[in-house]
Amino acid sequence: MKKHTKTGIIRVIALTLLLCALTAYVLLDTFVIRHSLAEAGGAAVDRAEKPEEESLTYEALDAYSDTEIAVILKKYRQYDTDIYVADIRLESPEYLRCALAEDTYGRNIKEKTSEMAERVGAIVAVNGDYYGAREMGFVIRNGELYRAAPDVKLESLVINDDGSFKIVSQQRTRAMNLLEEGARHAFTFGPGLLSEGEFMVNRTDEVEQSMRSNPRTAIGRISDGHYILLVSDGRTDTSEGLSLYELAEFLKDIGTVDAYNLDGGGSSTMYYMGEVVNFPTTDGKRYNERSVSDIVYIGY
Amino acid sequence: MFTSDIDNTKRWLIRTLAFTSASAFCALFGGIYEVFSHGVYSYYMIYAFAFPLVLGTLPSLIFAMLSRPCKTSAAFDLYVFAIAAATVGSIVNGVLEIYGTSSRLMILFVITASVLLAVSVALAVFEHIKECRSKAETK
Repeated sequence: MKKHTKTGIIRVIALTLLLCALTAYVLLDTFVIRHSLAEAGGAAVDRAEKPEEESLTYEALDAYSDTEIAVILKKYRQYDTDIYVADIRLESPEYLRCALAEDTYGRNIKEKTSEMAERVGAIVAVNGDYYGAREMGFVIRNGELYRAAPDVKLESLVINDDGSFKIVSQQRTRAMNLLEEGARHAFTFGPGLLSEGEFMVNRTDEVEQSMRSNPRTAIGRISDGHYILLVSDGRTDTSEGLSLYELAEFLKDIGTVDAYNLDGGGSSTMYYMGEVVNFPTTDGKRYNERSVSDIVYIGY
Repeated sequence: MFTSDIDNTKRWLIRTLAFTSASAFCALFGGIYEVFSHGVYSYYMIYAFAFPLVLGTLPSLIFAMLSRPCKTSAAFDLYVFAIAAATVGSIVNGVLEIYGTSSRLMILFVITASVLLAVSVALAVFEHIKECRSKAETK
């Protein structure tokens, strides 16, 4: 075969370098280069309310209570999986808050859930929707709109100033309208699990192309001022993990009316009073708390 | 069949083998990546091998069977890199999908592959016309 001339060799080297440089740039831009876009601005508990009857048994790990906030940390064992539930009662929905990694909105700006929770003085916290992993999708946190570009494939959870939950299709909604209607937080991950007590997922639904059982993080609302933060372990020998349907079914069983799936897998982390309570892992073997873009927390 | 025909067939078969190897490597890489991706999968990763297979192996095999002239040229180099850009782009997109992210920069792979492909085709046509003219002039 006719060999390359000198020009030909230079051409091949140039094209190889072009392809390598392109690949390196895309990967660095996606995973390494920091894109800082904005800095974060940012009750007497209804004890008369009779606790909802729960058919599932749990182990109460701890409890916190003051005049405004009450939290019971529960551990369930369902579907061969350890499920941690923070059962929260708030005097005001303003105590359901969000924090951004390094108090900055942007891409590749990450911090561990426990570090963020520690910094903001959270009583209990879970990882959020990891908005920084996506370029599209509504991001409203603590009443500030950070990203209005919709991800039309996804549903958004909107938590309003009055503490109510609404799960909306981003295809048919504008972020500005949500803000005008009183949105305090809007998350982009999903899917929605329960809306007004009705299932929003079926037995085959999954997050994009994920496997069936995974560590999960979810947020739910039982009634006014009564919320759930949930993290389930998965991928380990002791915890198989939950499918979306199992997650929704479990949440319904403990009385949740509205619920939404947040970023799961290796991101799933629950922090409670200075400690991580679950077993965050990516490979199922090693404890590895992943750095993420944001958290949802209860605190002042 | 002339000796030059045999040479051409042999050269195209070597190219076929090279494209098939690249395709097999991509299939293996995608398979191994999927094994360690905790059940998250991406069609871009799984089917990345199809680019060298469909755009490389098949045409090379057809040209080998037809004993088409096989030369090293700028057009062919650009064509190979167009396939490489498409394949690498597909794998990178697979990596991003499995991680659960996306990048607006992925369009650069599409542009690069398309531009290289267009230029390679234009060059091939140009070279073919030039060759026909020079043959006509020789006659």
